[in-house]
Amino acid sequence: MTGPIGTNAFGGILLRWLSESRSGKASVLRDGVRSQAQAWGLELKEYADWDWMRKAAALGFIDVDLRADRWSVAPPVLTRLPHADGLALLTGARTARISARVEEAAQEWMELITVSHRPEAGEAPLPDTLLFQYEDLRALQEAAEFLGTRYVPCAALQLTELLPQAALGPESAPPGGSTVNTLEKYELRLHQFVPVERDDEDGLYRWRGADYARLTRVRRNGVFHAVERETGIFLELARHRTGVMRWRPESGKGRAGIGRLFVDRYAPLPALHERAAVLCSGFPPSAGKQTQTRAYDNVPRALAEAIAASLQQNLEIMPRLVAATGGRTK
Amino acid sequence: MLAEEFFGRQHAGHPTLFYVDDDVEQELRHGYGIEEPLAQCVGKFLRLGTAEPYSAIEGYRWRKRQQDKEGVPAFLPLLACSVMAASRMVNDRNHRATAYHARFSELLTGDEKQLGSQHYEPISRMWQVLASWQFSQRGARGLCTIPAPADLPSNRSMIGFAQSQALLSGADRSFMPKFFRSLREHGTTWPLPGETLLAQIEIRGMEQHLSKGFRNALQEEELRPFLAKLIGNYAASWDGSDDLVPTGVTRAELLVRLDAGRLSWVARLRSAEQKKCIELEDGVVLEQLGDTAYYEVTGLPAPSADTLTSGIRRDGGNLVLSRPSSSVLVLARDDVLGIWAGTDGFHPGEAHVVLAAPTAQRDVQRLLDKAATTGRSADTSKLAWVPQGWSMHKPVTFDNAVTLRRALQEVQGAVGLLQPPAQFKLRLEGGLKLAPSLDSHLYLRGGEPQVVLPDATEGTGTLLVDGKERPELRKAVAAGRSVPLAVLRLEPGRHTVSYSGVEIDFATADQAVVEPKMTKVCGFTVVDGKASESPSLLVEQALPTGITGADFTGATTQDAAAVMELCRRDADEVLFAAADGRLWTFEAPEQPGWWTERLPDTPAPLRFEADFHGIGGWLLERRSGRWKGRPVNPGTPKPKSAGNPRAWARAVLNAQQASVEPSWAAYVQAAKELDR
Repeated sequence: MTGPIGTNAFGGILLRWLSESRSGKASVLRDGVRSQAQAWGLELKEYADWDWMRKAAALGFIDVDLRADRWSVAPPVLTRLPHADGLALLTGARTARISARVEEAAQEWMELITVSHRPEAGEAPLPDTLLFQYEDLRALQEAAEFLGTRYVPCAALQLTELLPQAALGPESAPPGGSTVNTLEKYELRLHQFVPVERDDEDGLYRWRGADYARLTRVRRNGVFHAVERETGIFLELARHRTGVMRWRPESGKGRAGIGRLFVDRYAPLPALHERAAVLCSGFPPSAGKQTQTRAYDNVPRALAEAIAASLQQNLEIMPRLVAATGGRTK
Repeated sequence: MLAEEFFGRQHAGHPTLFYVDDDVEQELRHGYGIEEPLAQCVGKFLRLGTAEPYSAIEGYRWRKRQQDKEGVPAFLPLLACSVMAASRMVNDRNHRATAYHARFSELLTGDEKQLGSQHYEPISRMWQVLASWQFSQRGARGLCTIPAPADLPSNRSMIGFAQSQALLSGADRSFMPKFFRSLREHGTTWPLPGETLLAQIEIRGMEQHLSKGFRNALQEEELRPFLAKLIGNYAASWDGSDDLVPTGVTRAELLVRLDAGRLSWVARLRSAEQKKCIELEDGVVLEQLGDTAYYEVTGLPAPSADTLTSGIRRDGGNLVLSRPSSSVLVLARDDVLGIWAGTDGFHPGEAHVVLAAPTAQRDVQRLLDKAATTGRSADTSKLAWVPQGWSMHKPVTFDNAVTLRRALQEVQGAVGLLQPPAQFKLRLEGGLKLAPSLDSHLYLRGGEPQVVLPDATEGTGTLLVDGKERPELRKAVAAGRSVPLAVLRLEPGRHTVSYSGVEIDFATADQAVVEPKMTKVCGFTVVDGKASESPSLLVEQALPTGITGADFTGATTQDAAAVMELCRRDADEVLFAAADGRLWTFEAPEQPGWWTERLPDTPAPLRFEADFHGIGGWLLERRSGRWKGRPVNPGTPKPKSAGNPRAWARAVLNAQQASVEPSWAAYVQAAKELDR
C-alpha cells in the first residue's frame, strides 16, 4: 500500500479522514461521502451515503449511533478470520501513522494482501480490505504489537456469544398527534412499508415522532413496543414463519463446516449480526445473481446457526454443490 | 432600520426590492422620527478627494461583521443612496450612464463632479456582497432580485445593480395583485412568465396605473428583461391575496414534502422567536418539529392536483402562511428533515423530483430534453402519491449549470422561474476537513474541496490553482459546475485558488495536526454477556466492556479450551499425539472456497488450520524425513487411558527428535514404557 492516493483510494481517503478525525456527526460523514463522490465524478444512487456508513460499521471501521447522529472510529484491531488457513484482518482506525507502519511491515516481513472493494453500480467504494497472512499465532500477536493495534483472537467467533436475541422492546406510545399522517405498515408480501390510515392490526409500523425522527414499533396484541427496524422485520418474519436465511457448505474436502450464508436482501441483518457475518471474511456481502440476496463468505455453520437462532429464523441448509468426502480423523 | 424594512423576515420566501426614492426616504424618516436626510448623513462618511472615498464605510462594515457574521452587511445607507440616484435619473427620462454618476455625486456631495464612475467600483462590489448575503440566508430574508453580473449589459455593469432596484415603485408593487387576479379570472395557467405578463400589461393598456419609472423601463430594451424577471418572480410567489408582502407580519412558507409514501404539507418559519404551536384561521394549526424551523401543518386539505394549482393563504395574528399556486413542483432532499421537500429552483449536481401539471408538461419536457443529465423520461410507474394527471420525473439532475441556465431562459413558460441561485462569490465547498473547529480551511490530502465559481462575468475568467491554469479542470469550469480540486493530487501544504482577481487560501495535510480528543465514543453495550441491539454513545463506565468495531477485549473471556494451530500443507505427514493416547493423522483440507473469488491474485495457502477443543498433546510434522513438534496444552501423557496405545507409542518414538522440550521428553519416555 502506498499512501492514500491511488486508483482505488476513494474508500481509503474517507477512512483516513474518519481515523484522523476520530469522531463526529453522522450527517457530516454522509456529506463527506457525497462530496468525495462528486469530486471523483462518481454517480451515487440514492442512499449510497447511508449504505457506505452502514457497511463501514459492519466491517469494524466505525460505530454509529443514529439517534445521537454521531459516529466514532473503532480502535485498530488485528483479528483472525475463522478457518481461513492463516488469514487475519486488519480493521478499525487507519490513521496515517498506522498506514505507515503497515507499509513498512509489508515491505520488510509482513505478508500483506490488499484487496480493493468492487462496488456495485451506484455504490460508493469502501476502503481496501487488508489481510495479513501469518504463520503462527505468536507471529500474529507480535505483528499486532508492532503495528500498534489490538489483538483480538477471532472477532467473528467471539461475537457469536454476544449476539442479542431479537425480542420486543419496551412498551411504547401508539401513533398519534400531528404526525399521524406519516403512518406506514410493513407489508411482508411487498417487502416494504406502505402508507396506512390506521393501526388496527398487529404488525410492524413506523411513523414520524414530534421531532420528525422516525419511530419503528411492533404492535402485538394491541400493544406497541419499541424496536429497531431490522429486528422488527425479523420479528414480523417469525410471526409469519417466513425463512430468509440459507447456508451452503463449501464443496472442498475438509471444508464442510464452513460455508456461505445467504440472507434475503429485504431483511437486512441487525448491526451486530451483520458485523459478525462480515468479520468472517473481512468483505462486505456480495449481491446474489438477481441481487435478491446478500451472500456472506467463510461463515462457520455454528455462527450461521447462532445468527439464525437469535433472529428466530430456521437456517435452511443447502446441499453442497459438489459431493466430496473428507474428514481428517483416523 | 433599512435592514428591518427591506430585508426583514416578513419577506421570507418573497422577492425583495431595495426601492428607495425621495418619497420613500422621507416617509421612512418621518416614521422613525429622523431629522437629517439620508444622503446628507451618508455624505459625512465619505473621504472626498481621495482615491477610495468609501473606505470609511467599508471599514465600518468589516467591524460590524466581526460582531455579527449573519447580519445584513452594514452599508445599506450608501446603497440606498445609489438607488435614489437611479430613481431620480429614471424620473428625468435621462438614461445615459454618465448622468447617473452626476446624480449620485450631487446627491451625496452637492457637486456633480466630486464622485465619478472611476470611484464607483466599490459600490458595485457592495451590491454583490449584499446579494451573496441574501442568498446565504436561503430566502429567509427575501428572495434576491439583484441581477447577477453576467446578466448586466456591459454599459451598465456597475450601475445596473442600483438601477434594477429602482424599476418598481411601492405603488407599482401594490398594483400587482390586482393585475394578477384579473389575469387569473380568465383561467390562464399560473404562474405566467414575466415577458407574458408585460405583454398583458401592454395589451390591456394598464401602463397608466404604473409609475413613470416602470413605463420607461418597459420601453427600454436593456431594462425590460429585468422588469420581466421581477414581475415573473412576484407572480410566482403570489399566494392569491390582495397584498404581496404584508407589513409587520411574519411569513411562513408552505412547502410540499414527500415522505412515508405521500405528499403532505410542511411549513417553514424562519423567525427568531419560535412558538411551539401556532393557530391560524379556519382551524389550521402549525406545530414545531423538534427544534427545527419546520412545522407540521394540520387542517389543510392534502396536496393534490387541485390544491397545488391554487394559491393558499391563512392568516393568524402576526403570521401568514402562504403558498403561491404553481403548475410545476420541484422537490429536493432536505437535510434537516431527511426527506424530499419543495425547493425554489434547480440546484446543479443535485437530484430532484419534478412533478408537472398537464398544462406545464410540455415546458418541463422541453427543459429536460435540453439540459437534464438524468431523468429525461417521465416515470410511468403510477405511484399513488403523484397528483392525478401530473407527470413525474425522477431523479432529475443537471451536471452543466451553464446549459441549465440557458435552457431555462429559452423554455421560459412554467419553468422559467426555476433558476438556480446565482453565485456572486468565489468560494470553496465540500471537502474533507481535518479540524473544522480549529481551521476551517485545512483539508485532508485527497479530500480537497470543490471550487464554486461566481456566475461568469463577460470574458469568462481563468481559474488558477497555485498561480497556474490546470487543463484537468477546464471541462468543469466550462460547464459552470463546482470544480473538484481532488483530481489534481496536490502535495500537502498551502495552496491558493484565484479567479477574476479574487483569491482563496487553503491547506492540506496527510494527518491531523492536533490529535483530536475523542470524547464521544459509540459502541454496543454488553450487559450479562449480551450486547445491546444497536450502538449508542458509551458512557465512561461502559467503555471497557463495550464492543467498538472488532474490539471487545473487555466483553468476552477468551475460550482457553479452544486452540488453533497452523500446519504446513507441504508436510509429508501431520500427526497429533494426544496426552490420553489417541492419535490423529491430519489430511490437509482443500483451500477455502472463497479465496479464488475474493483473493484471485493470492497464491494458494501454505498452511491449514487444525482446531483443538478440550484436548492436549503434541502436534508433529514430518518434512524431508525430519520431524518437528509443537506442544498444544500437552499436560502429562497418560497414553493407556484411550485409543490405540501401540500405534501412539510407535508414532511418538518415530518422531522422538521432534523437540528438545522436557514435555516432549516425557512423551517419548511414556512411549518407551509402552513399547517395552
